Amino acid sequence: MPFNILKTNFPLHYEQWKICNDNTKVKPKKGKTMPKYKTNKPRICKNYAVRKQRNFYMLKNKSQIHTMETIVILAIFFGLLMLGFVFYSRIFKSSVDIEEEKSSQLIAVKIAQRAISMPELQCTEDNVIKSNNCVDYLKLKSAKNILNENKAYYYDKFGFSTITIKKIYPKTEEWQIYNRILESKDYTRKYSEFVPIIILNPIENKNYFGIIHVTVFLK
Amino acid sequence: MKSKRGAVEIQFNWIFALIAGALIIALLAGIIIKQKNISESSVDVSVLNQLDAILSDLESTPNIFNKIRLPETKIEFGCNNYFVGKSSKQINAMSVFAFSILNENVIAMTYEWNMPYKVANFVYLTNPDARYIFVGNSPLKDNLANIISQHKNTENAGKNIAVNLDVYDSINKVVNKNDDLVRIIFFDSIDNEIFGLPSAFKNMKKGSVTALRINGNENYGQLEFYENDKGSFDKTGASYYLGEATLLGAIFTDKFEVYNCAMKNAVNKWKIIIEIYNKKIDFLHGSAQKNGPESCNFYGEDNKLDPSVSNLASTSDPNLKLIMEKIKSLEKRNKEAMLSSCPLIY
Repeated sequence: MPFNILKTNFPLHYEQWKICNDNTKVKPKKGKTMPKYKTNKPRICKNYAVRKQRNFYMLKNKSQIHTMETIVILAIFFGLLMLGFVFYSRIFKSSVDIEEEKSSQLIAVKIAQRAISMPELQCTEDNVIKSNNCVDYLKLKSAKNILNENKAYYYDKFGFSTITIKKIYPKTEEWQIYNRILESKDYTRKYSEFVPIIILNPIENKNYFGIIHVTVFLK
Repeated sequence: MKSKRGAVEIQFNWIFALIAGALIIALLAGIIIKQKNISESSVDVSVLNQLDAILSDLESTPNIFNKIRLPETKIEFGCNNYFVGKSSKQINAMSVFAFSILNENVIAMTYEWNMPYKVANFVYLTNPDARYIFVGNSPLKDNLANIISQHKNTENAGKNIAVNLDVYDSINKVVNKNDDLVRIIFFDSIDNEIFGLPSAFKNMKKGSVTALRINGNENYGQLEFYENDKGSFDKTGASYYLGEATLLGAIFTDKFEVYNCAMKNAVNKWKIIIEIYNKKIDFLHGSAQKNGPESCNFYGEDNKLDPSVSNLASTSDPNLKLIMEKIKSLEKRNKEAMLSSCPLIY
């Protein structure tokens, strides 16, 4: 019965007094004054223990109301804090996803650049690079099988991807120099990149037009 | 009775306030610590990705000398990998000769390794706080010092980028300049009087002074790696070098394991390149036989390198000498092809 309100004819602070019907007066607590009663009005003497119990109930009600107020305030505070935190983490996650998407698209470009600048394919004249984005036709024909035989070695550079060099003009020809793919159930994203290149035939000293096609598989 | 009522209420409120306050502070502290850990991991991964991009870029560009500024972090290089905090990355297909511990300021340099055809651009990473000391009287010492200085002067003239390098004729002249990290390179130190931990560095802590002992010429030779411990040098490993680029790699790397792993990567790549060029020689030979001219009919088996040379099972001088002789003859044949207006081998 924590929130019972005590009904009494006396004001609350008088409940602390012991009142008897033999006209004896009990000295009130320090600081409290005796009420002014009419003379000969009977006074009822109540059991001190019961009175104390009633006093105790009243004390519990007041502090419990106060405590419940504090709990509700704290609950609202924590609720708002959690709400703010969830909101912040959602926004943070979406910005991270955007960054991840950007960097994923750049991976294909990075692999294409690495493939073009490999000494295994680059056009050189006495170890001097003839031009950028140039591939030696004879090296390309030689490298096709050799690079695929050493997939484990090139995995660090190319990851899960396929790299195909296509001669477009004057005649078409194709070489897949690296092929390490993921099954369709194992990857979630796929990006392709096309980079134009020159294919130099050192025997005939002729340049052909080609492209390097890179497809990257990401989990 | 009045005092008891008030006292209990006040005490209860205080206890409740303390518990609630402690819970709030603990929750906020937990969030802050978690966020700090996430941010640190995020920075580490960001540095890792930046460094990966930088190394890829450096590997495709020869004769670079540059200072790289990264976020405040510590990078540790090991055998075929490097660590930034708890994140790491493998570099099996790259030849990176790096100082074992780097901070946010890194000096990067690249140099071609031609055997005789281009195999790779070696990437050298070093700490600007590390001091390099060359000791000896060999012309190789001056040659390498010039290579490092030329890189500085031609590529970044006017910029405050330099490898901290001192050159001495004798070990007795070496002085301590209050350096934290020292790397001493001994040239032609067969005579043990030249080799040893200088007295100026005897009190430095273990591992802060490393040494490299070189026996050979600019083309090939033997290497011995040392580390200081209790006032003297302890040998940590022995290897070989083939060409100036690998010798520079041994100079810049302070740990034998890092050099050994980078050399293995380089030699594996050399094997693949040899196979590709051998097949190219077959195509050139076939074309010359079929279409001529006669003056270009010199592409044959003697122009090919044996891919097994890359195994280098024995690193003795006679083997290295034979390999270099073969390489020199291939260089000569390529120059002949150029003079005869024939298709070049490389």
